[in-house]
Amino acid sequence: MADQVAHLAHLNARDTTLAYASRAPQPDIKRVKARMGWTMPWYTMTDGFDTDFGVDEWHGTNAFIRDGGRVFRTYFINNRGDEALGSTWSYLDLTALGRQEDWEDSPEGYPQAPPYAWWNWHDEYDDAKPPQ
Amino acid sequence: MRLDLNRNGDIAMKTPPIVSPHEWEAARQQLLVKEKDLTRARDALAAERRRMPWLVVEKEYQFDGPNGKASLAKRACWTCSRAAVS
Repeated sequence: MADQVAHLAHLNARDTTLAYASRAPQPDIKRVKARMGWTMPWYTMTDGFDTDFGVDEWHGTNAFIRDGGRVFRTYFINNRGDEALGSTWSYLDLTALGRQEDWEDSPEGYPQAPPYAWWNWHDEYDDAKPPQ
Repeated sequence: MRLDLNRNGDIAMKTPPIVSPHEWEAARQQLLVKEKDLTRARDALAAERRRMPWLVVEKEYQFDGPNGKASLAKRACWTCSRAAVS
């Protein structure tokens, strides 16, 4: 799945990121990331996160939103539902706030801006930073 | 690869008809109607998804990251408040 993922600078420009989590220790993850040229953040689970969030058996994708110190789970999808993911749009469509574009049917007060106006080259966003 | 034979080289593949540019464009336009319906249906589903209730994450899950310990509240991306975790 990680081979399908678009450059995360575009997600980051919508105040959103994608992180992977697995049971593998960090040295193994580092080695695979280097071999595959992957740059997304990838964490090692140390507790019951996998069973609590449906990723103990096989892959699954959870969406979270953080508000100050509070974190909410807003969505979960697995099997064929998340194997199709990869584009920036496919991930934004799963998040609580969506693409944050003004054509979207979103609840009142949600952040929205004109489509494509926020889109940029991945190394030309104002707050472009190298991924961790 | 030869399209008139399958992978085993024994059974002919039943491929679609070969048509004129005009007929090909007509067929494409006919399919496009359904494809646009699907795109709009996907947008409507995403709108419904944004109205899903939220669940508080009560536990403070701990992760090992490339720069040491991490948690959902301590962000993977410093500027981000949203995350999709695979």
